[in-house]
Amino acid sequence: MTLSLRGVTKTIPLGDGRQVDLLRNVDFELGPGDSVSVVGRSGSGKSSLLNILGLLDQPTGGSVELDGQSLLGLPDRKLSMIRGRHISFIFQQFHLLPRRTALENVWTPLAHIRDRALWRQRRELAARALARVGLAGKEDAVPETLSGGEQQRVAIARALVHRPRYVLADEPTGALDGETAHGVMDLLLDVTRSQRAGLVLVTHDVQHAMATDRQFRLNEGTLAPLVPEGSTR
Amino acid sequence: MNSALPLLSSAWRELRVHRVRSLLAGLSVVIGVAALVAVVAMGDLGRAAVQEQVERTVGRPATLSVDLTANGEQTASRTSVDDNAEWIRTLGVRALSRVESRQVQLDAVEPSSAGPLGTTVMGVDAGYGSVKRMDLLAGQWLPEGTPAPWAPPLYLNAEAAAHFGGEHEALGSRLSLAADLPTQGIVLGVVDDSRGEPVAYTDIRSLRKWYSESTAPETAEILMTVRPADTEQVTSAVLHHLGAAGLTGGERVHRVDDFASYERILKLLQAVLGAIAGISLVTGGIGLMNLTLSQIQSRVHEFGVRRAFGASQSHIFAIILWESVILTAVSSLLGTVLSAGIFNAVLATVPEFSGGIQFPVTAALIGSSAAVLIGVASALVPALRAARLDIIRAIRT
Repeated sequence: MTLSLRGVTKTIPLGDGRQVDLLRNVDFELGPGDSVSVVGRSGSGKSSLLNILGLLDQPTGGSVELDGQSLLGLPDRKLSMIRGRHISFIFQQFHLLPRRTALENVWTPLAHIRDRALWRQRRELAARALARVGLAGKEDAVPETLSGGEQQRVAIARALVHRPRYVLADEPTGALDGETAHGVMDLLLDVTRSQRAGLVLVTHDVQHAMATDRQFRLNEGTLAPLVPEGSTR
Repeated sequence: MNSALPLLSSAWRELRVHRVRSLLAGLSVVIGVAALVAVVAMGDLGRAAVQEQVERTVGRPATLSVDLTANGEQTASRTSVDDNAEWIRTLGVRALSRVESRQVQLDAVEPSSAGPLGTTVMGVDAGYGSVKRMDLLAGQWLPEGTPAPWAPPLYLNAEAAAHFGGEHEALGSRLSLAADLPTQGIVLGVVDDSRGEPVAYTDIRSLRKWYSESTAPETAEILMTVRPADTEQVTSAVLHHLGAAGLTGGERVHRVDDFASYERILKLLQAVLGAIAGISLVTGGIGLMNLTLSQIQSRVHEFGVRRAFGASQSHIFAIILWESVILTAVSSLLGTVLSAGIFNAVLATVPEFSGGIQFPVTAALIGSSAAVLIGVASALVPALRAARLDIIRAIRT
């Protein structure tokens, strides 16, 4: 069960006719239970990498594979199904749906999976997920009434409620203060490990990156290990 | 998950989340449907009112008149009128009445401030009340089968009664029918015949007692109600029968109720009003599309998030479509209930029509279906736009 990128490139045109390479020949693999972090400066291609891994965007070259099967060229319906089942996101700005309760936000992924049983159990599953991230009793709270840390916890519960294989976290602590950020980071690592979900963590914070199993640096579209092989941390 | 249950559930929840927008959009549909149904209902009400008026003044459908005035001056003999009436009864007509009219001076026997009233007295049979709609405003009818009374029983219409003091005051009055005759009639009732001019009705047998056959009535006719489908057949048979008796002329028998011409006008009016209501429904639909489009703009972020969590393009499309269907269906239901309330309220003010008019269920169904279709049509473009949103840009919105 591996999500892989093989020789992926992403090029976008600039307004003056030139092109810029966001990703250059990237090879990447993520298995269940893996935790991988990617660090890099702004504009280094981190978000592009996550978007392609999350099937939100198509690479210009190379291939995206799930268990060795190329996902390129699949119709939207199929890609949406794979994304809904197996891949989940945690965003820096939380991206919770306003005016919906925490419970409704958490069960959002369950509304898009073709599984009637999951839909019927949505309340229980969402409540359990909220309890897992320490928000029992906040089921009916709307995002507008929650703190940043609480909102990101709701987002983590939403990302894991349907037990996806892979969680892609794009600077999940970027909008939080230091202490809250640490708490959220610990929670994220804890729950993904307990569910044996593969985690890709894009972050600026090397300290957080070091909490994952593997670390990469993305520099001008090129992905390389943060710590060169053979060297010690 | 494209199965209906989560979609419906999501759509209903989203409508509740966007309460104000839903209320505004729904309101336009409610008004459109209510207007459409109300227009049809009012058309039915108007139709019933006109039909009632026609039934009062000229007769129920189909009323045939057999004119027994010869050469415009001489009437057929009483025997001829009676014989023809008896023969026509054998055709199985629904109702029949002989009618003779005379111009008389009605005058109160007891001292009264009301002077004499020059009016038409019509001698009719009991069947007259079946041929024409004639509602009793005051007094009572003579029981059927009553022998010809010595004093003519008089039924004044509202206009004649007004001359003698009003509906209730005129009841029981004794009125002389002519200065040179010792005839006095008793007012037994006041009727609404919508003629607009004073008329007194009496039993034809009583009328004949007091006028010799030599004093010919101004008009003599036989009125009858037949099944509309039998009109031509009965007309032809009566004409043939009269011709054999020397009473020739095709104009002697003719249909007098002209409801069909009123109905054409009513249908035209109803079509015009229906078109106006339809336009309001379409305008509501355009408003709905406008609101849905602006809503899509404000929900771009939401659709981006949903797409990230597995919603396909078709799912987003279906959510918006279902929202519109639910909104228009619920609004149509409310519009129908509202129009039914208005309909009943209006009907309560005109109880005389309440028996003949039903709530236009067909119009309600057509209006509601049209509203749902308009809802679907108005959601198509916004739904397509939402489905085709770029996910990454949508999330960043």
